[in-house]
Amino acid sequence: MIEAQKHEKPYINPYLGGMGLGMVLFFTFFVAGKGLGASGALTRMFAFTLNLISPSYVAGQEYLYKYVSSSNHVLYHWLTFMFVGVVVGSLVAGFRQRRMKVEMLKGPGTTNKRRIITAFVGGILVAFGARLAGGCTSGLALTGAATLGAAGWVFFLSVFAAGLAVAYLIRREWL
Amino acid sequence: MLAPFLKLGYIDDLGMIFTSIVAGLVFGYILVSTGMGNSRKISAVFYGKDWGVMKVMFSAVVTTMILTYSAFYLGLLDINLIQLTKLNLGAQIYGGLIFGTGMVIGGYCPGTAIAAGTTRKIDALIFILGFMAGLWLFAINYTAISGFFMTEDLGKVTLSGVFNLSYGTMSMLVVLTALGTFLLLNKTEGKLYKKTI
Repeated sequence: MIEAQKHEKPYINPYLGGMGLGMVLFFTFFVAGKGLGASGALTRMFAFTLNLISPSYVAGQEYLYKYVSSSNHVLYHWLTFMFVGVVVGSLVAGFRQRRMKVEMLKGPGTTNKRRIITAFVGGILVAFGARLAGGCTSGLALTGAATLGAAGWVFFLSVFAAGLAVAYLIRREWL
Repeated sequence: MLAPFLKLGYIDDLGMIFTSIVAGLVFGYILVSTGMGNSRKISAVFYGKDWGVMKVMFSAVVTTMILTYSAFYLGLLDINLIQLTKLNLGAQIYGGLIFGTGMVIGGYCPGTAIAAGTTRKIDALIFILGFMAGLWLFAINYTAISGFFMTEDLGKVTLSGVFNLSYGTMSMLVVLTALGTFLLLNKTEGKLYKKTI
């Protein structure tokens, strides 16, 4: 078990946390017919920023242009509003539970330099995989699994299979 | 049917925005509280050292499922109106494999990186920078990718459709599988890798 650090409050029970998360997900199903998500908001913010810098560049990129050219503003979306909520909710929990310390989290056997590389490369792959599959752990796996969606389950199993296999190869970074 | 309110026109955009922000608040709060804002805890799931992520995910899925199908059974909620990602085996298998590789290397997925970045974890902020780079790589290669992987759209497929079972029976099976997995998880925690290298 990985426990919270000494200066922090202990983590809450994972089953209890999961039940809470499940109730929120049901709430969004019931009210909006939509689920949770995270990668969509990051993608929209990326398209938005790039479009501010160079609209002509974005106009030449089919994938990004889809986002900025729809009738609604690129940031006017279910998931970007949720992003705002996630940030505020994390801040509240972070301060209340004393988890706001500035730090680089990494495995005990690795260096800061290596961690910078793994974090960056991991981010690249996760973005690529999420855009390819059409969602991430929350939007596709969690939301999809709860609606019995085949796409969510296929994605979830693939993520876990690759994670377990690659974990062994990079065990120096985490163990 | 009473719900989903938004799809049936009972609430407007303002209600949608409010719902989304409230859900996000609780989502973020729970991520940080359960330790999902800690890359060490997330990566540990792939080493069988800490099944916390799986416990959170599975108990969330089970809870949502029970509530959703109860509401459906009581005639309150039209489940066919809930969003469902279309099945595209190539996209979700290759996408999942790439995503899983990135998740164990980077220690985060998008939602947990946002939560961790907000609580000032530097590795999460670097992960998000990498994420932006990944989006750009995806966008500039989109034409090639879409031709290769994203052609076989199988539509909105559910497990109950695949196994030809009713929604109720299928969700029961999933709940039972999850409960079995819970028991197994508790027994195997810390036993996959005998000692740290």
